[in-house]
Order: sequence, then C-alpha cells, then structure tokens
Amino acid sequence: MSDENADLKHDTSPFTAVCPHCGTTVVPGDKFCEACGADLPLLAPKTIVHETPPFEMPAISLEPCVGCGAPASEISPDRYCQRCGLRQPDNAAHREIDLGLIAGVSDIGLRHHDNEDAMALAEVAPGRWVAVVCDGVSSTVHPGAAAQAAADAACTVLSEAVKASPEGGPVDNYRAALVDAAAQAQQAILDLRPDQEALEAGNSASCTFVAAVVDEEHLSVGWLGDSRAYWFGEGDDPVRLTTDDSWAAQAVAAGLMSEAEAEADDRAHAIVRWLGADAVDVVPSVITAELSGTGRVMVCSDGLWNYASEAHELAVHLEGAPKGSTNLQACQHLVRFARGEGGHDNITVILVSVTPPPPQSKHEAPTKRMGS
Amino acid sequence: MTTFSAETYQNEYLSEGATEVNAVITVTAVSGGSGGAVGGSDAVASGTDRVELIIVDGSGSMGQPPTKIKEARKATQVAVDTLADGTWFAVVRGANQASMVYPPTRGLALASDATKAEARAAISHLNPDGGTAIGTWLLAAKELCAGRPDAICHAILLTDGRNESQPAHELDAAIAACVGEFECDARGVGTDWEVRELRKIAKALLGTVDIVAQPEQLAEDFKAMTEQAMGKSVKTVSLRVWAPQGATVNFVKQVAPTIQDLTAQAVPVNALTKDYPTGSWGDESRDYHVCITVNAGPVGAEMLAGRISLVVGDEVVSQALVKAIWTDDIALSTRINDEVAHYTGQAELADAIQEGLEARKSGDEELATAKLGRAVQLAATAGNDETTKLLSRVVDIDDQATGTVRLKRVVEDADEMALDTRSTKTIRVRK
Repeated sequence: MSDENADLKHDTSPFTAVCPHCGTTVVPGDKFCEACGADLPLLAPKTIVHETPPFEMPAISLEPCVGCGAPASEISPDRYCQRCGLRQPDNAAHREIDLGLIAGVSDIGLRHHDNEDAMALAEVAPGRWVAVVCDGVSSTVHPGAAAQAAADAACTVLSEAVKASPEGGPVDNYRAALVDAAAQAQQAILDLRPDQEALEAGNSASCTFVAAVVDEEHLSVGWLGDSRAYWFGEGDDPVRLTTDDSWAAQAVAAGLMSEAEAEADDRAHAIVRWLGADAVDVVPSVITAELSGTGRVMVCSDGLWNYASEAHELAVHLEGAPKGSTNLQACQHLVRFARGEGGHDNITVILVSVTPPPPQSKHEAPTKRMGS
Repeated sequence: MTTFSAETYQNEYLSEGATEVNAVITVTAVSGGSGGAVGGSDAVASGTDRVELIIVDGSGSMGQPPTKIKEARKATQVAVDTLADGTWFAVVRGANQASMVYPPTRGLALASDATKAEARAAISHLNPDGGTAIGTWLLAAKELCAGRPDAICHAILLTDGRNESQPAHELDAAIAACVGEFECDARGVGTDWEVRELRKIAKALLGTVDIVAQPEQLAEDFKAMTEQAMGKSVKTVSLRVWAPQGATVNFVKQVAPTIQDLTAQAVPVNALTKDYPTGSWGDESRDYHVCITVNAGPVGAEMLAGRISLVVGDEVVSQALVKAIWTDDIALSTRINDEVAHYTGQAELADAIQEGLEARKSGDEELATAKLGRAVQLAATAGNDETTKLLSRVVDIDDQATGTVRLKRVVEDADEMALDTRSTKTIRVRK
C-alpha cells in the first residue's frame, strides 16, 4: 500500500484521464505514462457529458493553487483545486506586459479578493499599437474570466484590422474595426456560457470595454462603460478622450447636477453600458483624432482614475514617475500611486509612447542617360 | 440512450467562520427513444438485459387463511404477465430453503408467450409448507443472477412472517453477500412479519419495503413493481462525492422519492472521493441531500465543498457542484434555501415517526406522544398529507400546528406497520 502522502499527491482527482499517445488510463498528476513512457502534458479529465452542462471552462491553469500550493496539474478545468477546493482567481493578482513603447500593468489593489480587470496589448508593427482594458463588474458572477476573454478577443480583432489596413490608413477603418472588436469581445463572453441563473438574477458576468488603436499620427478609441483613455501630448493640454457611460456622467450631461455633486453620489459609478450576456447595446462610442507631436496615450480602468480623474491631475502623477522611466516603470509608478491612495479597486493602466515620423525626404533618383 | 442531469440547490454563502455546507442535488434521468418506457415491450430493442425474480413465501403460514396463498399465486402470475418479452425470469418458492417453481431447473427462462404460460401453470401448484429462512432465498436469487452479470437484476420478495427458521446473523450474512448482486423490493403480507427485517433487506439491496395488509392488494402491487423494473434502463449508477482535503462528508441521503441514508454504504475511490450506490435507473428523478463540513476560508474566498458526479459504469455522465463562499453580508449568509430546509424537515419527520413508534412499542407513552406530535407538526408544515393520514391512524390529532396529539388506545397492527414502512416516503418540494 503506498503511503498516504503519495495517495494525496497522485490520486486525489475524481477524474480519470488517458495518455494521448497510447490511450491507456493514467492518473492526473503523473508526469509519464506508465504504459508507453510518453511525457504527459497537462491533461483535461476524461468526462463524457451527454447533455450540455452549465460548466464554466476557462483555460487550464498553469499556476499552482493559491491556497495550498498544489501543482497546476491538480487544478480542475473549472478552476477549483482538486486538493483544497479553493477556487483559483480568474486573473493573476498582478500582471505586467512590457513591449517597450507600449506597456501595461494590471493589479488587484488592496481591497479586492480577485483581480477582475483585464488588459490586452500589442505592437502590431513598428509604430502601430493596440491597447485594450476591460474592467469586470464585481457584483456579477465571475467577471474576471469574461473581462479577459473580451480583452483578448478585441485585441486580436484590432490587430488583424491594423495589419490589413494600408500604411496610415483612414481612421474610418478603425471605427468599423472598433465596432467589430466590441462585438467579438461580446461573443467571447457568450462563448464562456454564462450561468443562466445569474442571467435571470441580473448579475451575469459583465465588464467595461475601452480599446485604442494608435499609430504615429492617429488614434481611434472605442469604449463602453467607464474605463477611460487619455492623451498626454508634450506641449499640449492633457485631454480625456472618452466620456464615461456612467450614471454620474449622464446626470451631469443632462444638467441635473454638477460634476462634483455627481461624483459624490452613491450611484456615481453605476455604468449604463457594458459587455455581457444581459447587455442591450454593445456598439461602442468611437472617437478618432489626428495626433500632432510626441506624447503618450493612456488607457486605464477606474481603479486608477478614481484617484486622479481630471486629465491634468493624472498628468501630474504620470510626470511624477522618475526621470528616464520606461513606460512599464511609469505604469508601475501609477499603480503604486493608486495603491497608496487606498487601492479600493483593481488598477489597470496601459501607456503607449507616440513620436511623429520624420518628414518624408523628397529625393528623386537621378536618371542617367546611357551613352551620351 | 439515457441522459442524466444533476442540479444543485443550496445557499452557498457562509458567514465568517462557518463550516457546514448543505445542498440538495436533483438527479434526473431521461431516456431518448423507446428505451425505458413503462411496461416497455421494447426492453430487448433497447439492448438492456434484464433479470426479474419473483420470490414467494411458501411457508406453512401462507395457507392460513387459504386466501393468502391464492392471492399470492395470482399476484405472481400477474407479475409474470407484466414481464417484457425477452426478460430473463424465474419464480422461486421460499421456505426453509429456496426451491424453483419455474423454470424447473435452477436457472432462468426467457420471457415469451410460451414460457409465461408454462410459468403460470407451475405457479398454480405453488403450495404452502415449511418454515421461513429468508437468507436462503436471497442466496438463491444471487445464484440465479450470477449467470448474467451485465443484466439489470431485480427481485420481488414476499413474506408473511418472521425469519423464524434462521438465526439473525445468518440472514445478515446473506444480505451482505447479496449487496450489489441484485436490487430487491420487499413486501410483507398481513401483519405477522417484522418491518425491521424486511427494511434491512430493502436498504442494503437498494429497494423499497411496504406492507400489503390485505392479500387481495398483492396483485396490483406486484404489477406496479414489475412495471417499474421493466422501466429500468441503466444498471449501475453511483453518486461520486469528492470533498477537499480536511473536509468531512457528514452524510449523503437520498431524500426523494423516499429517504434512504446512503452514508454507510460508501465505497472509497481515493483519499478524497467516495462512491455511493444508487442502483439502477429508469426515467425518473431523485433528490439527494449532502452535508459537508469544510475548513472555513477567509471572507471573499470561494471553495468547492463538494463535486458530485453521476457515474455509470466508470463514466462520469453528469456533475453538480456544491460551493462555499464566505461573506460578511448577513443578508446573503442567512438566506434559507427552500429545498434544503424542506428535506431537512422531511428527514426529521421520518426520524420522529421511527422514534415515536419505538417509544410506543417499549411503553414510553410520554416520549411517543412527543415524537409523534412533532411528526404531525412537520407533516403539516410540509404539506405531506399522506403521512398525516397515516399518523392519524396511530394518534388522535388535536392541533396540527402545535403538534398536540394523544396516542390512540387501540391501534391496528396494520396501521402501525403502514406508518412504519411509509415513514420514509417524502413529498417533493415545489420548485
């Protein structure tokens, strides 16, 4: 009889799995197939389901259990540890993506149990970038997975659109692409098969959406909800590019109260548009602009702008990053700032540095006459 | 092809430091196509092998009065007629030993018009003589099923008396040997038999026990049991329960259509997982109440307290999750889940009846009145009118709401036994 610890290490799964090479039944957690000796990748359990169940099935975990440290192979596809039962967070508590001129940080903050913010970013080609932030609505069921699926889908759509469009393509292309990106992001959330009960209760997984397509001279931003985009141009006044789809913004726009009053209201941050199974309108607002000069585009969730809402306030904190900071370091600096202010929400920020291209040299190749 | 589905009903929110998780799991089996239809003459077409055994008490007492054995013969013939063509069957006479009524050799016959006619003829010569050693009847049934290990095996067992020709430990040993070999529905005709004995058999062999007070009622009961057996299409279904390290599965009980505590019948799969047998299934739905104690997590954490899988053979065909989410929101953690509350009440009702009847038998009138009064109260709350009616034959009900009752001076044995055997019948909660 093998000792109890060995039992716990190998045999705690209620599932069986099969070796992809020879088909023998193996125990999840085994590294090699006992029958044919092949390496065993992370195996999904063999469950044969005769009816479509409302299972949530995001990607298989690659990290050990945040509770008991059990290896990633012992996390079930529906994200429960097969040893201690703890549900794994949908998104990592802290993520950083550094692509140089574009970088992003997403952080759980100080008060939340999960990081339900998601980001996706890409440098599609030199001087052409995509940045997406989706903020999961924490009163809904498992919004983190929805937010990540949405952000990833949107980033893919926009990257394809950028690749397909000619150099410095017309901004109208990006308008259509942003509408498409939101639609695909919405579909990605639906593909996660949201829980029917949650849908009926009105708290099906939901998230905000803000996506920016940036090249050296243009940007287009599409959004739903209250995640924002800003432009910090050198020598320019800092500008907020988006207007929140929030109760507060609507109240102010309708002339019902001042911005200060609206911000102070309990309902201030209730969003009026979002992505999710119960979303009515998933066509984003879109703004396009020509950029004149050097500067940075910022895309962020409300976990950051809550502490510095006005563009020039935020600019101050952006400038406050140590001299010579990379965009990643600047993002880290902003996250630290937000955490320092209390970190009541998840914090996500992406920065893109834009420099205008050098002027085209009007140089004609000399022609030579043969034999003159 | 039978489709299984499982749904969880629970309040998953626990207050800080709370550790007990309760959930009701509803499991429903639906067959597509013709398999599993009641009285299914398509039994063979669906590819399900079935064995049906009818074990009839042939002891001397069955002839007193002669109407008992006459009705028993008739009921057995009705059961044979109800068999689907292609079912393997046998009729066994039980006394000090078991002997074959049909087929004449120790084996099974394949149901057809011809064999059914032969069986009917043989049954009409079933004569009462000898004692009662039910353990031998069970072992005979096991032997008959042994030839068809993949078939869904079911037995109807009828007795009219106590297991007087056999010591208790021999009956217990026989029951233990038959676990998993066949399912058995046990019936006692008249009032001279022991509810406790037949209940032991029914529980271990995943069947029901009931009283048939009047022999004339046997035919209808046998027909119903046979029809239900013909409707089974999936042989061995287990409820596989995984709970996390450090957790304790306090109990797993079937709570609808009847209460059956399956906890002691668990078969370990690995350190964290156990299989609870649920026998064979036709088109039906059953509810289970699972209670698990887990280590408390921090506020905000979500834990899987139990993963309940339906296992057919060794295939997982459906799953339900039992969750625990710790919260400091009192509104969430104090919510009562209707299903859990209902079945907790039904289980308490069954216990109250059992304890009340025990107390009455041992002469403790005060305890009996208290327990049966509580039972009346619980039955009223749940709207379990059938149970209220059964209770009213044993106690005079003064006030249902407060459970004020008086023990009847004279109670018919049949009424007391009916309450006893049917105490485990529950009504479903309205969803």
